[in-house]
Amino acid sequence: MNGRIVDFQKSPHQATQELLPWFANGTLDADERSSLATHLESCAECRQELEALRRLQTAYVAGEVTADVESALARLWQNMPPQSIEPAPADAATAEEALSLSAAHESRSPASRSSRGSPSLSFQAALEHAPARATATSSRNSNLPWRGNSRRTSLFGMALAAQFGVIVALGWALWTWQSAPTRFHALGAAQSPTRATGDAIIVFAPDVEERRMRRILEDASARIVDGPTAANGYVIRFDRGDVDEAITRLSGDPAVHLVVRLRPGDGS
Amino acid sequence: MLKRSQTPADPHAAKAVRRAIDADDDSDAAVLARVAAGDRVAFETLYRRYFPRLHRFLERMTRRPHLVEEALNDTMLVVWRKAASFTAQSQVSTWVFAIAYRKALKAMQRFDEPVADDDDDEESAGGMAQRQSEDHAQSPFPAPDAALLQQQLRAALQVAVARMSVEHRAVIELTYYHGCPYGEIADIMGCPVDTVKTRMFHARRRLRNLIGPRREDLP
Repeated sequence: MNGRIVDFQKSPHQATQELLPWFANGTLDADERSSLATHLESCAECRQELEALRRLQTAYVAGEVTADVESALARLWQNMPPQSIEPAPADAATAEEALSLSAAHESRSPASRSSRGSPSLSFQAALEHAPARATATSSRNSNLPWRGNSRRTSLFGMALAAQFGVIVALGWALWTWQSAPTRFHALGAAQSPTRATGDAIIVFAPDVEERRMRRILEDASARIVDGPTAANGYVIRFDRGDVDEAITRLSGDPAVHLVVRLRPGDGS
Repeated sequence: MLKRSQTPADPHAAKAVRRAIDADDDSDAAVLARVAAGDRVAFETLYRRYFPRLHRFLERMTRRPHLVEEALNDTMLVVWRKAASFTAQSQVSTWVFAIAYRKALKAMQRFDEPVADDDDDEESAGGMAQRQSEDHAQSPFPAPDAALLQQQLRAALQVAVARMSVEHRAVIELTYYHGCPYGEIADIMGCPVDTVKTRMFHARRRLRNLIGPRREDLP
């Protein structure tokens, strides 16, 4: 007996109607059950209501949970923040859950009000009262994966920092590579960084055909390496033979208007 | 099971808790005591033990399947963190469900759904459920009459309960499915026992109105 009795400030019929759901689920204490049973014997309306409640309960409990507990549990561990278990608060009433639960207890019944003011017993307090057991439990759990969590968290942080460092280094290398002066130069660029060097500059007569120009250069074993210049001259290089002799020979050709020997450094 | 009258000054209580953290004790209190000591295996045991009940409860509370696992894991995360502050004044199940109830309320805050009941009653849920059942009855494989009737009534119940407030759904669910005494329901919902009785009274009346004539046909 826990001191709970049917409130007969209400009529027995009203009190019975109020408690019928818990009569149907079998959780009333002996006094309440006895009081309701007495009323039910004489009240057809309450008996009918009780039968309806039992049918409702039967229909209501149908259905099973089909969710996968293991995958849900795996996701819980995956999302578990790296935080150790919180110790019991010095005053259990400061804990969020303990606070509301204690408040509910105190407002619930005279029986629970009788314990008001007495500190609640938490597992943490129990562990403090049983140091030997606590030590044994702690030792037993030291091999559990969870117990090494803070160390794993530290390693994870270091790995994360190393990854960040590599990313920064790669970013720096990419930036410096992109900002370095390019060695590539388009063939059509006006200013070549390394101008072609030749042995002489040749200016053909204005009316000389291209085929004639090509024959003259072939006979002199020369080839054009640059030009035309602003004065319509071409820089040529001699592949073999004496340069001065070749220049002399070229200068005697009527199709050649001018040939000038280039000295080292003239073309740069 | 731990009794609510235990206090640290009570040597029998301290003895009971010491006994509870014994590895051979498989009660909820014993498993939770091992969780308080950081035992991950014990936590997983408790998780698997409570998963079906919590899943069903949170599903009925939130009525949004995608919220259920999140609220359930949030609940068990609190259990893991605060196991050491569990007070032996209540049963473990009451403590866990109280956390779950608050997580359900918090999850429902994202939606504009009233926690307390209102009296809007536009359409009978029984009527809606009957239409659903009639649609189902057009199946080329009709169920036997009794099974069809039961299916209709379950559908009516499901629709009706879904249209009730979170508070009314909680008292209905905790009483009819989880078989809780009204005192435990008061602990879980954080309200006086008289409030639980009042809520149940109104919830039954609302259920009666929503189901309508189908109520008499409940199997």
